[in-house]
Amino acid sequence: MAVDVYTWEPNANSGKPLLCLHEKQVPFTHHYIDMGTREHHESAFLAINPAGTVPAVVHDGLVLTESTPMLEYIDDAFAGPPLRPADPLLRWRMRWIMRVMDNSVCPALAMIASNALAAPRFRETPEAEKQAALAKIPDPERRRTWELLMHDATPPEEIEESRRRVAAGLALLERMLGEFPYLAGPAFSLADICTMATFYHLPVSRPEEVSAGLTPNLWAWLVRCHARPGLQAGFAMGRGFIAERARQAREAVLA
Amino acid sequence: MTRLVLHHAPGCALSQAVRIALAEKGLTHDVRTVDLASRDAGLLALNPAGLVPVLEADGAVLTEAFFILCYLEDAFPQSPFGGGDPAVRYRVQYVGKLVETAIAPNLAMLEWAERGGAFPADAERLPPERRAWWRKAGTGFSGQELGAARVGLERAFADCESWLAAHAWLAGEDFTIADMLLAPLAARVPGLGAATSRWLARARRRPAVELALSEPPLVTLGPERGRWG
Repeated sequence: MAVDVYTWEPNANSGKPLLCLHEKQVPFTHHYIDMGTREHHESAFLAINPAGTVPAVVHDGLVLTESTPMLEYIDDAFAGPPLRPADPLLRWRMRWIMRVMDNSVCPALAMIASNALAAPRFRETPEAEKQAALAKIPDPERRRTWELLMHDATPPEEIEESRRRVAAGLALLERMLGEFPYLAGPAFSLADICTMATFYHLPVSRPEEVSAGLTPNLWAWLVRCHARPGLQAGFAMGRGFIAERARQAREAVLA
Repeated sequence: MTRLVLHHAPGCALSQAVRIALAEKGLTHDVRTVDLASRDAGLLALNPAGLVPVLEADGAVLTEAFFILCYLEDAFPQSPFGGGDPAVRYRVQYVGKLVETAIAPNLAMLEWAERGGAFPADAERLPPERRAWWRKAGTGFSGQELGAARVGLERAFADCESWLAAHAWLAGEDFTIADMLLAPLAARVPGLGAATSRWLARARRRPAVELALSEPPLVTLGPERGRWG
């Protein structure tokens, strides 16, 4: 029962299967796909996922390419600690939170982060080189996103709206974590994995918004999650600044 | 027995999906009809986003059509439509995501641009992202936005077409909640591929599907399209 994970770092969507497989205690092989060099748009990876998106998980020949459905699959297909609530209402809550993260919060964060970090790197890139890179992106919407990024052309009001959505997402998490210790109830679940993959760094990246004093429920949840050996092992798979940032965040909350 | 109350709008495809599931599973329920044009504060009290369907289960409020279908599978496992093994269930989740994030928003946007529809009286009381989405619909979507919606819709249906060329149903060889979710939307799309058309005809032979699809389609602004990549 071989499990092969083709992905980049333990960060956002790319990180979800790494964190989840560690929490589920399922052995797997990590094939590192370097998003920095846009390896996910190269033919070797496109042979596994023609859509050119990471992560992709291959389990005994079955190819999984949607990161949230693959989390449900991992919990469904393997023995190990249950990662979904048994109560149908809590399971709905788990899926609802993952949808908010996937559709609203994560795209907003990705827009902010890529404009801040990736856009400046393209300033010196010759136009022909940009066009060649864009031509390799199979999905037209993603191509459009990269085009805006490479030309530093994302409208400022869009970035402002993304900031609003991230703030609204943090307020929502703080409120929901006042109801239960974990996002989908009394027990750790896929909703926590999905959200930690994106927000593990809050203690170091947004100390002015997230702290033990300002967001006590969210902070207590970060403490609980960062203390988990499964998530720690998943974040330790990072090769560079992601693993380092996760380590700093963990030290900040567990201090 | 759980008391189920469905709030729906006649002709709304995602509402029809939930009605199909309730009928297929034989679940007793109450129905409340919401007029999306002149709705009262009742809907926003239940779902601040102002979207239907909404299902109340013993007072708990559930939104998002596909997750309502998943809930019905989890809560009422008798007469199952959730898929018989993990690979099929992954496929159900995959289609659920495809429909709710690619097909439903793009189709609603294109229908709105083509035919217009009822503008809600309470638009100013919606949360910021819904309010902005309605404002945008009011001033008209740009050619670039409509082009992207058209491409997004075509690609999603091409994905379904290639699967259905080799399988009877969207998740495999059995009728599941994935089929219940897509059928009402697919029935509104002209020019479906050959395999998708055969699949839809097969779905419509089920009385619950045909009954739900017999009402005239409602044009309204659906869920927002994805924003970044």
